[in-house]
Amino acid sequence: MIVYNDVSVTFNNHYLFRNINLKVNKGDKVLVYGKSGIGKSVLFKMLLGFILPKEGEVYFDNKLLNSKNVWNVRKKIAYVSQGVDIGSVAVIDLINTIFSYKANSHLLLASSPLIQLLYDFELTEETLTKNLSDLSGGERQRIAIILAILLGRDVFLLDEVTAALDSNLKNKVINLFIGNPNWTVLIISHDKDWLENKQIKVFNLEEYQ
Amino acid sequence: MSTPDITSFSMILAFLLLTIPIIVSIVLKLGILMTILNSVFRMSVQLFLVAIFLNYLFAWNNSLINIMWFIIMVTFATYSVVRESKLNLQLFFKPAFFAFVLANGAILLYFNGLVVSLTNLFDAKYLIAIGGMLLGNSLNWNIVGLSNFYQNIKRDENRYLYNLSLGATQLEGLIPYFRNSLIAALKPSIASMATMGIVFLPGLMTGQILSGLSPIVAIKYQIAIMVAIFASTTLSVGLTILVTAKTSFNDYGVIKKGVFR
Repeated sequence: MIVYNDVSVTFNNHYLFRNINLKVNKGDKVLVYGKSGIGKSVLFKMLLGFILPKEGEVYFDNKLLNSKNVWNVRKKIAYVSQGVDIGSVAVIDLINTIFSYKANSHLLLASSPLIQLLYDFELTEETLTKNLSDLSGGERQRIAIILAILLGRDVFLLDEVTAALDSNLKNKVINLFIGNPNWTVLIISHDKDWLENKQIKVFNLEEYQ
Repeated sequence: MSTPDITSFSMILAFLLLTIPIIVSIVLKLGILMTILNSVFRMSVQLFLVAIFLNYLFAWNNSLINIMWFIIMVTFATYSVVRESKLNLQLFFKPAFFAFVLANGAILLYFNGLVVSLTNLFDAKYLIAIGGMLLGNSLNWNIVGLSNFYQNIKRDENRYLYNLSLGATQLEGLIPYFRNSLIAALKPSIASMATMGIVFLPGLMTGQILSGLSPIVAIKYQIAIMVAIFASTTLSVGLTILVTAKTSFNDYGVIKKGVFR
């Protein structure tokens, strides 16, 4: 369902990586591996059309990604970015904004599992009224994960989502995403806990430098 | 009652006031002495030239020449806004110019035609004087609005992209930035309207009172022009951002690399 075909990316006229070939099937859980600065996040951003490949093609659902269909592709992917720079408004305001987007108009906040998810991730309803910039890194990470789940999509791009979590929460998050057979999940993480999971396939980006 | 002329000797006396900033900048080593002298020199030369030029312009009072001069003023204003906002001139000049002509032109014609009820809409005195006030004032706030919009998107690029990933359309993604930049551009005008008359007597009013007009008529002009400036600022900031946004993002909704200078 996701294919990177001979993809090369340049940055300031230097190749970041060359001729990447990666095929992700529905339900796969793939961990993108490689040292810092190698361009793991670039792989995610290409799928969302934020960065364009210098050479090669990216396919989503058997369709070549272009400026027309990328807007629809984005509606099918839940993306949690590294550093979770997601805003400086109250959590509930961000949630309302997200639910106000035309693309999400089929979702109903009232009947969503928001409150249940908050408790699952050891947060409380009070978090909703707090400003995102007042939350700790770990709290923000959990909010971003909850938002990704609330979108009801089944492709997930998770960029370092467990970095600021304690081991208990870490396992919760890992089991949640690995455990759902319908979800296609791409993961970037330095956490060994992901690697230990048997269902994870590893894609080593260092081989393409 | 007419305004007495300032003799050459009095002009020298006026310039003598410059010794204060000059001495301060020398004693405190501000390092801006040459900049001060250069700016004062430019101001004097430019204004004298404009005075000579305006003398002719008012004497001819030819609608076509007046309109052309207004267009030249808009050209300079556009250039200055794009440059001061540190944006790419090539990418921004045309759309910004278009937005400026439309916004200021519309307000100007409304003001001259309906508020002042001129028989000749393009009368030199009004077209150039009122046009200059609209442009000059909205220019500063356009710089604030435009640079606020693009700087914030650049600074919060990840945040903006995150919203696109959530399913936001280009417009949905840009609206919060659009809102913020309009607020930033309009706030100073809102504040200055609230203190007007108490804290300072604005230029237009001072000029009219000095030239012998009754304060009652002068304030009516002042109120009307303030409202007109406010409207043209809103219109030009809004239009400029909307029009330039069309060319400064690629089809994927990502801000183009060459947007900044």
